[in-house]
Amino acid sequence: MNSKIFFRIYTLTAILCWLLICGIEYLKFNLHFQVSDTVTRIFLTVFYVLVFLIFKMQVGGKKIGNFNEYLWQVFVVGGSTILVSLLLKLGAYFLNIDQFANSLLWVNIIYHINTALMVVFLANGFYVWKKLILYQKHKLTQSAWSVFELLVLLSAFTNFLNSEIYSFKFLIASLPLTFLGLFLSFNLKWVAFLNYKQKWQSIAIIFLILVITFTYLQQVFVYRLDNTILVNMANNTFTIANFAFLLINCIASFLVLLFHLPTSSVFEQKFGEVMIFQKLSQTISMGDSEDEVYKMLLESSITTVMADAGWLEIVNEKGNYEAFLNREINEFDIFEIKKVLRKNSISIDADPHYIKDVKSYSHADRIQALPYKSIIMIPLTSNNQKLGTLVLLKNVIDGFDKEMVDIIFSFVSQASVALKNFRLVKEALGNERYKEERKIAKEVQKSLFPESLMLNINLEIHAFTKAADEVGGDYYDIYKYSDTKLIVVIGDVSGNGTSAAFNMAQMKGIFHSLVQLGLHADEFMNYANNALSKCLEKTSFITLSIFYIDTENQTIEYARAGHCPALYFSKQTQESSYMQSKGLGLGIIRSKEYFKHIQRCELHYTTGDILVLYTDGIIEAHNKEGEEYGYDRLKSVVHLNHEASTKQMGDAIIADVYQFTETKFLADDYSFFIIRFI
Amino acid sequence: MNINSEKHDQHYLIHLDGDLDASSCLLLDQAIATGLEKGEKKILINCQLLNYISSAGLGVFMSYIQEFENTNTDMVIYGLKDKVNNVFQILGLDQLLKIVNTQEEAIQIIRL
Repeated sequence: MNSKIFFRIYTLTAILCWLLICGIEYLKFNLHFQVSDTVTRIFLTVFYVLVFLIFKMQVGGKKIGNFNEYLWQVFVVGGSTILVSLLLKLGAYFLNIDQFANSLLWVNIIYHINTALMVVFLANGFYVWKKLILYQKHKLTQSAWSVFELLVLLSAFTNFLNSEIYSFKFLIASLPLTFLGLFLSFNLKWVAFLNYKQKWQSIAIIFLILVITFTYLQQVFVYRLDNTILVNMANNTFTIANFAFLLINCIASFLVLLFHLPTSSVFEQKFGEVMIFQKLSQTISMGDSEDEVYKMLLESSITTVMADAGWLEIVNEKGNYEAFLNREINEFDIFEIKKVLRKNSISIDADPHYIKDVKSYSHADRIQALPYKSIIMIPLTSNNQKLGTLVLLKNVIDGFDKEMVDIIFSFVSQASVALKNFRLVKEALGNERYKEERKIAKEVQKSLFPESLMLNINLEIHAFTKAADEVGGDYYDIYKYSDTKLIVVIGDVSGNGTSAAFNMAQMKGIFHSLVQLGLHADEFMNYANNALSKCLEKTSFITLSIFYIDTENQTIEYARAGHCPALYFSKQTQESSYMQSKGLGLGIIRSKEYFKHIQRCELHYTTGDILVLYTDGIIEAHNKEGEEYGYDRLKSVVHLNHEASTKQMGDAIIADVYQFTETKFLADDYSFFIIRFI
Repeated sequence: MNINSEKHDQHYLIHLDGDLDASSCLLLDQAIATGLEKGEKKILINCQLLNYISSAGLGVFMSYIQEFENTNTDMVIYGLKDKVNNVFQILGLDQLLKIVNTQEEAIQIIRL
């Protein structure tokens, strides 16, 4: 805001000064009014300084982007000012009327217009070169510039000396300016940052600027000899110093640019390599895929060393191909090359290998025919783990010099790190997703177990299940057939984990379908076997026990299909026993023969009897010595707790099992389902 | 788990030693499959050193029942420890497989 206001004030004042100078000339020549030259000089000096300040703000505010744009600005300003000044001359020539030609006023006004345009050109050039010189500045350069700039502005006041250009006084005044100007002119760091094309452009623009500068200089010296001009430009350290500064810098830049041309391609190449490094390391953070890394590695390598062809093989952790990229060579040729290399017992993925000339190898003609003469092979590894191999081919002998090999090595190692990181990230994400999915599976399976066990007032039921993994293969369920009839089922799907959990879900479906048909226990098993035969994999089976409980008649009809025999406690005899019966697991025989292997049993219960159903995880739980928990221990813990509630009995069983195994984790799923008849 | 198989004049003998669980049951499957591929018709399984059998191990035996019937192959299991025998019995596999106590008995059966 502030600087904007200043900018406007400066601009207005500068225009006002210039108009005043012209006004004074008018007064002098037309009205013959005597005005001291000093007044003109004061206005002229103020005008100079203001124009410089305006350009200091204007150019200084710009951000450095492209150096050529700055040079272009100098040229455009110079070109347009010189065009205006030439048009004026042309106009004066065509309007060659005596009164104009001889009019001192007219000549002086033209002169002042020219002066103004020239000062604009000089100020613009001055501050553009300030930018260029102070690019990547040192402290010394900065201070030297500050002094120089101050001196230049002060030199504007040499107007008042009005001394002859070749005079001693003039020389003394310009000495410090010359030294500082020369010193500063050699700060040409910006040149190094131009690429080859930009350097040529700069050279062209600077040449044009030089032409413009000389045109202006020529004008200055023409006017110097003109006695009709009252306030002469040339007799002014300020103007001359600025011209000198611009000329020296133009010529210095011109020469430096010219000498830099041959090396700029090397610079560009190095710069490109650095960019590739940056890109390679960025690919990961940018969320690109592994394919991007492969592509970038192969393409950057080929272009950097100017290889004629190449390919990249990437393998996964198991050593299988994960990606294969080829450029300028087809798969058949690659296969051919690999065959020849193998015949020479060169493994392309063991160690880095450089073949300077294939000629010295056997079957070389087969590669030469393709036609390649030198081959370089660099494996990608990370922590001794093989990630893949990069192979580059050239059709000249010893086509890869040491520099190229070094740069390819650094590409490969950079890419290896990127790939390794990428795989680690992917693995971590995969694990996270897997965990999340297992959690969901666990929730789903939880919902497969019955929500409520309170279906009949004559039964006190407690059930418990625990899976070794998130999900398991144990299953129990209860179905209320009528107010007095309940059907209870307990089962165990072979295996554990996710596959067992899926089969357990199938079993639930079969149970809920068949149970509504009012079948007998053995018929149920027969149908269930039939259904499961169609959907269980070959080595899977399910053990199941089913109990049809009739609380009205106090009977239990049951069948056991390979499941651990239920434990029955009789209150009357105060004894507990396992309910042995014949029965084959479901899915073992997948034919109509199954019914021969299943038995239907029935018993009468009395109030206070207890039925303990369980899965083999409890029986097979073992301690450190490998001893199983077994049937006898279960029997005694049930016996000991027969007077407690079913919940307490369940807790006692769990406590007993854990006390026996002395661990918190059991290898198998385990469940129990305890019913007391009341 | 160690599984060794040996060829005898009259039969093909597989020795099981250790725990037959989800990971080792593949070895048993391989051993039986190899025997069948060679055209063996009489297979003996020595379980004297078999300490434990999981449902996966049982699944392997079970999966061959139909194939044995189709190819007229005899398989006899002998020397089961009580604990392991109990597992076979509870599942009902004893109704489908020939299970005996000693090698002599087993050889006798396959000679019939």
